[in-house]
Amino acid sequence: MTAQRWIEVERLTKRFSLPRALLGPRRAVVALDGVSLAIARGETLGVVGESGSGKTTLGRCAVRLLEPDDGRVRFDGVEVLTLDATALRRMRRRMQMVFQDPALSLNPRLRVGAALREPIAVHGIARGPRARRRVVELLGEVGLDPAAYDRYPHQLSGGQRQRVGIARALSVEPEFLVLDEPVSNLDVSVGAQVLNLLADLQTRRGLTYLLIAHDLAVVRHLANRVAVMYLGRVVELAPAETLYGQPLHPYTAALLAAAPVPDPGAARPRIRLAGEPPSAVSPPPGCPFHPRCPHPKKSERCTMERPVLREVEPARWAACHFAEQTA
Amino acid sequence: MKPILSVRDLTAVFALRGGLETRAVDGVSLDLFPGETLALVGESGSGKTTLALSLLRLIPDPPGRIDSASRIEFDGTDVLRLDAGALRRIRGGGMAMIFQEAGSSLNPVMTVGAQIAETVRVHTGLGRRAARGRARDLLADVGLSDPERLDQYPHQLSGGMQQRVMIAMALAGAPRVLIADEPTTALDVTIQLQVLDLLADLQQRLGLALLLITHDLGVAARIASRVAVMYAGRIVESAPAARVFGGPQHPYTEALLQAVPRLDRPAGRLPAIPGQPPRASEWPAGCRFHPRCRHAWARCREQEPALLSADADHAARCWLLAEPERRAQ
Repeated sequence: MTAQRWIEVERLTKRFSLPRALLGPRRAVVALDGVSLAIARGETLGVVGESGSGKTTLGRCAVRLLEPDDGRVRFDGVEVLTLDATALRRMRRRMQMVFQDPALSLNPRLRVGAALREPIAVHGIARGPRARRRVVELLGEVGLDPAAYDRYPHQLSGGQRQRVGIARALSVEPEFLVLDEPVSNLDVSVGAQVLNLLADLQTRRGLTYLLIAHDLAVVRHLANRVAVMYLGRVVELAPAETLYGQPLHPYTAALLAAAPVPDPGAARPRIRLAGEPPSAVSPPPGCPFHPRCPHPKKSERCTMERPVLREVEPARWAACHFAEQTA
Repeated sequence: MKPILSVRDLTAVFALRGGLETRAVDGVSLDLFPGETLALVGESGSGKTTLALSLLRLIPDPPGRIDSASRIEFDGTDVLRLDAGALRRIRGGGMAMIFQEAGSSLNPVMTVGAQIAETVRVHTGLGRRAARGRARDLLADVGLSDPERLDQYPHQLSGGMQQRVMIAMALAGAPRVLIADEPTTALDVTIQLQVLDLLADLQQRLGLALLLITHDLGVAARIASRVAVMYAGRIVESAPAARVFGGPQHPYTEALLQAVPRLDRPAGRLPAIPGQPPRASEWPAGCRFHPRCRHAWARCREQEPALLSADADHAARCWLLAEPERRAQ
């Protein structure tokens, strides 16, 4: 284990079986198809992709909220997927998750204070007045008034609820957070506050983030490196500025061209993808992106041979047959 | 040119518990011209959806009602004084509306062809066979030319295709105004772009007036010719799109453009807007944005500004237009 590969995900695969039609064959969606990547200590790795790309499944498998079918997850040298229940619970103190919709992940009948004291008690961190003091400190750290302690979730605004979600994740003093669409339910003016808060917390606590989002601009604001996913696979992985400035995969280029920018005069590459992502139940042969790919050099090879994710240039990985020429 | 839709002092009032009332939309005026796209931009609770629903008299009454001083004129007709029959003809025939969740607006147990054909028959009185033919043409117009689509059910279509079906259905009555409420919010960006291209294309081809309601400044920038920004039930800024994005006059618009993460600006700390949007039950006194405004002074707390002209086609509801020397650096 090195600081560069503090968290390692190797060939992670997750299938979801589909309801079987009468006498029909068993079918499964391959949500995650042999994904490998590493996260350095203190780093933010962004994961972008459209719905069905597998980005949420990746996040959940990484902290073992979902059991992958195959592959490995190593966290600070520990094999996470083979831990027994007790050891996993201890490990959970170190890795936590922040969800998109805190309204769904908070118990509506529990006041904020009680909701935050629960994990503190479960993990035996503090009890009684000490636990209370700790919760009040946490509320302050995420920018909430101590009065929030006695509120119910429905009495808070969306932004305040997301701050509670973050405080709950922090309550057990984790080192690694999976942030799954942390601002996509929030208004712009409030989302910006939460993004700034996440940046501050990372600096102050030395946290490591896996940031999952569909919004490329949101990811760019926090991420050091970015992975782009398509149909359960990573198709490009590179330092953020490089990936946004000079994408190697045609799908990344198309995503960047489609992302809304609030400037009608902005010079945008006119890339249009035809059709929709194919079904993950029966992905196309060859490169999974080839049916929609606008690359001028697209050839028969793309329909037959699946491009591997490879290091095209130092620290720049792409899964496209033409990545070397693009670079 | 005369506007196809003209709104004056539109106020939508909702009854709250305890006999209180709230003005979700408060004295809004706007004009929509044939062949233009006006984007109504605002955060949640700003009143933009209530405004859109009010235009077709679709807000639930009670608890909602449109204040009697409001005027909505569609092509010279006073919408608020129409009887039920005439209102039905205007809905879909004059002004049609599409929503964010296309999937939940479609009938799950009817094929999309049958749903569109039924809408065609309601508006045109065509016979079954002719209506089915028209449905096929409408689907082709929205980019679903594959004839097998007619016999598919909504759940067999992707979100993007469902939204295309909704658009086809909205076009069945040959409307002149299309109101699109967050039409691409539930869609992935590459599909979102396809649907925005389609809306822009239809608007050109059919000369539609498009009222696009969105929280997403980037979506508005993509297809709007004019932009009206809503905050706390009011329009706070209105101008041609290039002016709103290039030289915003209202501090809210300016702050919003700074706070949104953007691909065209360097990454770094976002200048967030402090606080949060107010609720309709507690609009602040004075200028409704003053508690969050970095320029605010005594006058802003006491007195609400009208929409003041920056120039001929650019207005903002801000005292800075009267006292520009107050603008903080």
